[in-house]
Amino acid sequence: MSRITAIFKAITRNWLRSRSGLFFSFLFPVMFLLVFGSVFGNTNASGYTLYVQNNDACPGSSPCFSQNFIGALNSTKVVVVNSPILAPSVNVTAFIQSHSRFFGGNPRVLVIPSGFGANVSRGLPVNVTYISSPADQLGPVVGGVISEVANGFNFQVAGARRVVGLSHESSSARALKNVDFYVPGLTAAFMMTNGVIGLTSIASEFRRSGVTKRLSATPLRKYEWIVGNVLSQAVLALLLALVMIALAKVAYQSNVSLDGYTIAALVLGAILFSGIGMTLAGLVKDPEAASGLGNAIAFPMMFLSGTYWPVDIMPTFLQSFARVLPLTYLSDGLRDSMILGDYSAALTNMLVVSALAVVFVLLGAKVTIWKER
Amino acid sequence: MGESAVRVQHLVKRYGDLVAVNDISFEVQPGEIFAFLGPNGAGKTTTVEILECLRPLTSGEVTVLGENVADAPGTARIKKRMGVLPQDFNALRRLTVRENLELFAAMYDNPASVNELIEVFGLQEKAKVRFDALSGGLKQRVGVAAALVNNPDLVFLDEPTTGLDPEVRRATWEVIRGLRGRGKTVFLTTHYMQEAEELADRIAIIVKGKIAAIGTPGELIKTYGGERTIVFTKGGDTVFGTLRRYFDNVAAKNGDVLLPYTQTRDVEVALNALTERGLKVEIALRSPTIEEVFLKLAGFRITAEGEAK
Repeated sequence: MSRITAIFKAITRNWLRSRSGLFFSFLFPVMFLLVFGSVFGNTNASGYTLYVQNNDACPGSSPCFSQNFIGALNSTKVVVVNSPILAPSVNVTAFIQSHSRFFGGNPRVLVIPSGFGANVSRGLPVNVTYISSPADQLGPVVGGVISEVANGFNFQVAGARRVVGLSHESSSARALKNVDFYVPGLTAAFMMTNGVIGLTSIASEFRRSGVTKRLSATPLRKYEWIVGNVLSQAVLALLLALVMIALAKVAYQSNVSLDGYTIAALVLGAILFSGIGMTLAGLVKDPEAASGLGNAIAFPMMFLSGTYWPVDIMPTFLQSFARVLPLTYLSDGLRDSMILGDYSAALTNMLVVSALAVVFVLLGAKVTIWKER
Repeated sequence: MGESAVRVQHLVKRYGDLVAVNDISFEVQPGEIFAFLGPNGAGKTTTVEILECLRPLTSGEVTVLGENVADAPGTARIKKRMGVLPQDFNALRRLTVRENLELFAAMYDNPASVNELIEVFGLQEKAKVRFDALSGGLKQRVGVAAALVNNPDLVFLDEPTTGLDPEVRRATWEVIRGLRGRGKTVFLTTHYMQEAEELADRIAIIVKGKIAAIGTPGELIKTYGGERTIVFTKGGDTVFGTLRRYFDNVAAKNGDVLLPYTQTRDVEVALNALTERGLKVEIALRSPTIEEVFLKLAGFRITAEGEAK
């Protein structure tokens, strides 16, 4: 036991003193969380932008119906009317052309015709015009909101009252934000890169430089060496999780939690990815080739395992591919326990992780050379 | 102790078709420095690693400190009592000298004091320096210190001074001599003739997986070194002519006169002959070295890099 402790301490210290080790195991995931948290973390809160051109002239004395319509749109919280509104002189077609962007698509524009207020006050029909791009998936949603606001006006003018109302309740006990999705995903992904890239290159470097062989000439047993390495990865994973959770809470008021199930999942994940790292390092002699192979495995796995987007939105063949990647199960398991509180789903995922962990640690032990040939 | 520190009988090691060690037998006595001398690829490291229980043997019988290297409990006991300095010793790069020595110490039940080792090896000022910031000589010194961290009875030093500059090499030799002073048995491999001659109580000359000769440096030189030579420095033609009457094998080279001899009597005859003629000369006696022994046995020399030439 004292030998395992000594190996664990030495390996962890050696890792934490490496600038690239520190960068890739802590700073890099933190940067990713900050970037993803800032870009995608708050899209739900701010609502969908709508440009409005108001061609209606408001009389000074009577209520201004066009202004009220715009106010009603804003109060839905779903739509945010871009301020300032477009002047009547603006050519809407030219505006849409010049404001089309790569990511946002074409801007959504609502045109309120002149005489809108006068027609509404007299109860005469009048159309507002809504222009959105067919590529804009949210275009119809915003159209629906506009139509709902228009209906409110119709009820009011007709003096009718609502018969069927809507009461909206939240589906989950916790209010989830996008950043909540990223914390377990990124933690799992970087535990994976720590094992598959970091440990692979360090372990094969130990082998090349003769450190492993020198230690094998002491009473240290192979299993003690492996357990020491795995423990070191587990502690790094817990540290990483703590950093990510703290950052998400402080910067984005995230609701992720760290409970016993999550800690168990982190440890199991660390065992799995150290097993893979040890296996790769044992199989590939040259440290550079080993770290190249680690990268070649880690990056596709990172993008296809639901770290950055849910596996469900990928094409079916990629979904089935994701189902054979170990990271998918750790990401899902961590998400189940950290944000959804769904422990039975977490258990299923973690059973897969545990089984893979056993396989890879045994494989890693088999290919780690303690006695030459 | 009574038992041999190392006992090797008919050891063979094959890698596929290649025979790296071809039926060698030798013993190392407790308390001696025993050197394996040979070029790269002769089978030195393979043999050492078999003795260190890091490599299985193909056939033959090897006992180290009375334990069979082929059996697991024996191996575990050997590892507790041996110290190892591998070729190109490396420790954990980003740990300090002290942290690395403490790591090695933690592998044993009753380790030596790390503080004491640091002092003995003059590493006090480097104790807090990271291993990767050390020079080659200092790394090697840490390696020797690490090899002694368990107070071993037997120390294996595989090419302990390869790649070191001459000054550091001499300093390392002092350290190795000190080991004998502390009662350790030392098994050393080297391709440096001078190193073997200076340090070893006994030398085994290993060529192409076989032991060509084994003995003390004196025995080897006596048996294989050939004749000793009297050199009459700048003796010239007169000296040459005089000695020629008594000895057929006298030779002149660069103004020096060289007289190979086998008995002390020959020296007397030569000196008397010259004195009778009133010739005053400066003389030097030249003995063959291990280098000549090696050349005679192997048929080639070894370069500084350890290659056969």
